[in-house]
Amino acid sequence: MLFIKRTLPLIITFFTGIIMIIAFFSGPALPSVKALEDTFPKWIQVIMSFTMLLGAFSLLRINLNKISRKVDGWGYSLALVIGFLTMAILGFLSGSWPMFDRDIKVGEKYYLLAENSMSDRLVTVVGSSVDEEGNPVVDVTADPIPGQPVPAPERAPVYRLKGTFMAWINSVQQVLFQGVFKAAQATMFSLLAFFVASASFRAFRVKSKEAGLLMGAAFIVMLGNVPIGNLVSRLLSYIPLIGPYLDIAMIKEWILAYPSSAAQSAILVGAMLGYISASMKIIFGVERSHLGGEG
Amino acid sequence: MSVVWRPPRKLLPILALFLCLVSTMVLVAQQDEVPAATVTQSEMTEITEEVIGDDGETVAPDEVPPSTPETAAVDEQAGESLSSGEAATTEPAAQTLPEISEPATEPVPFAAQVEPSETTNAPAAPDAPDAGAAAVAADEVNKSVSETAGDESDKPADTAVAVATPVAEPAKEPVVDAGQQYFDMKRANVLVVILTLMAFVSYYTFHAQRGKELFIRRISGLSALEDAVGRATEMGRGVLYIPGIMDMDDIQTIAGVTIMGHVAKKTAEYDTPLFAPMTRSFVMSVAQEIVKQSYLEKGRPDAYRPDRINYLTDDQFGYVAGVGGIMMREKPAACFYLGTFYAESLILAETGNAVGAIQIAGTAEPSQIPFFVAACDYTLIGEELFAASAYLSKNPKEVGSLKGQDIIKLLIILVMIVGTVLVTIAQTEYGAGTVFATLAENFMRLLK
Repeated sequence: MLFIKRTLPLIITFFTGIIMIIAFFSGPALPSVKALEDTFPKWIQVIMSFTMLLGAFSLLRINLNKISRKVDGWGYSLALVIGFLTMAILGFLSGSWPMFDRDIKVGEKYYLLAENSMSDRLVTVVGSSVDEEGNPVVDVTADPIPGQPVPAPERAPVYRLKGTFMAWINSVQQVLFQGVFKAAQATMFSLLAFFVASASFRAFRVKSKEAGLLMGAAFIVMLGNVPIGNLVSRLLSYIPLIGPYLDIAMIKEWILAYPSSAAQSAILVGAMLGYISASMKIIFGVERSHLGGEG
Repeated sequence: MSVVWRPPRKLLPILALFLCLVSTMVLVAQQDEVPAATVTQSEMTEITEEVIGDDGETVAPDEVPPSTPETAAVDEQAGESLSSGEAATTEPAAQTLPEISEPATEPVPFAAQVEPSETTNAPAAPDAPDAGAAAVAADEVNKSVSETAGDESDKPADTAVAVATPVAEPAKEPVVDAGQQYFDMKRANVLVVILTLMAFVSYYTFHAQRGKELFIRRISGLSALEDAVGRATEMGRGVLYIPGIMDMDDIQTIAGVTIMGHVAKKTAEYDTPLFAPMTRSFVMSVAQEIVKQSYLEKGRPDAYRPDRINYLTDDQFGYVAGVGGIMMREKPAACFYLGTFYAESLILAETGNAVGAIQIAGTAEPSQIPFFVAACDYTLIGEELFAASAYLSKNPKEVGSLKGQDIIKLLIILVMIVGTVLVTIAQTEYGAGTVFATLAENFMRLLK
């Protein structure tokens, strides 16, 4: 058991790490080795897709457990399970299932989905053919609007034509995805604006020399990013001798291009060395606490 | 009495430096295989893009107006005056490149003078009737900077110095059959860094294992780790731990879950609830294993609650919403954010601050460090995140690796200083065309 839990992962890590290092440094004379640089990340994607199932089962198990035990806040778990199942079912249904697709008949009415699947419209199929790449396509016309000329036929791929039920499923899914999920996501992101304000309020309290420096630099950068910064620069330019040099936008650029950029580079150099060192420790089994237990 | 042979460990840094030297020599040797005319001025062309104007002012190439028939006479006069000796006094020799043009003939298009590729393809004025002049110009272009400086005084009197810019063919890669290259020479410098790092890390690891005390500076964030868990215990509240939002293929996540093991030992010791909502299911299963092992080691397997280390969602802001909810409901007294973070960093840290938690954060993402510094009590900056495991475990192997990293950093600083000094000297009129310019050029090429 210990072999499977500790030794085997170490062996796999060692060999995989060494192979990747060799692939990284190999030249064009070793194309099959060089190709591993692209192949291994694809393997990671395959493995990661399996872990989605692991996550889904874990999520459902924990929340169903909370609901069954009626623990505090079980209502949130119920909302989560309902949302999870609804989106999963709608997602599966609105996906492409070629084996269940009925043949498209010329003269019948279908719903043509927009390219982003966010909307659909009723069309009549007037012909079918195959495009240059061999994919089946159809010629459709929209229903004529009284008083307006008959719209010209347009070409669309077959997979975008849906029957009434599937079009309805797609609409519900889009309403939930775009109207609820995307909106909630944007709301969370928008909160950042308020959090930035509250965090900077606390950070800019001048408690030490460093905090004062931070506040000064931040003030200049903020001023340089808003139109009033130009006005301030113009006013400052009337100061004799040093006035012309007090261009807020220029000072802001200097702060960003030199001190800030230098500090970021220093952090990156240190971090990269940490990356290399940590990777080496993991490959050679010096660091093994991520497998559980002492490193 | 058995004699055990031990490798000369003290010689490892020397060995590492030797490796560096050999690799450098190999690189330089490969560069030298290229004909001298093709390797001149690769970096220096970038460095000295500016053109010295007639009045001695530095003018960007774009700003120089193209010659017109009206200005040709003026150019000619300027050329004559420069060729009669003033050029040597007003302009650095290496920054001037003679270009032969017939006086009072069609002016040379400026683009052909400043663009290295065009210059080499059509060194002289394309419409210039004198083919001999074009050939001479081509020869001049292919000469090294020092040669050019030397030839300045030998020019005929009617030679006009039209543009003072280092025009030369960009350095070409060594002519090696790509099909026979088993090693990617472009990545040789990376190998040098890795080998040197490994040598120093091995040396100091052996050193530490033999019992030599290696000093690690105090890292406030890590020293406060135990206090934070203790505070949560005293307040009867839990601890929240987030190892970033990326998967296990990110080294910061591995560093995050490694530190999580140490935090879990403390929570097991103090019997404090540990909440760890995850954004990746793979990280969740690894974290569960680590925490379980930590609780086992502390003799508290009964206190381990796998449902507290749960998966929420892969979606960035969905995860933030979920963690925010957990924070508001559970009100943890200590929050740890150690791993890779992006836009969610400030939302998490501010929510933690709102519930009155002591917060320790750490990431190697430069863009997120300011947010953590502003909103958290302690922040591990960049490499400190990777040093945390060594700092907490005091494992000689890991402590030795830290020391090795520091030595490499010292070397990098030295390289930066030497490079800066060389390039700065090479840009001055005293350094251009001298050994400093060549050194700076080779130095920059090696770094690339």
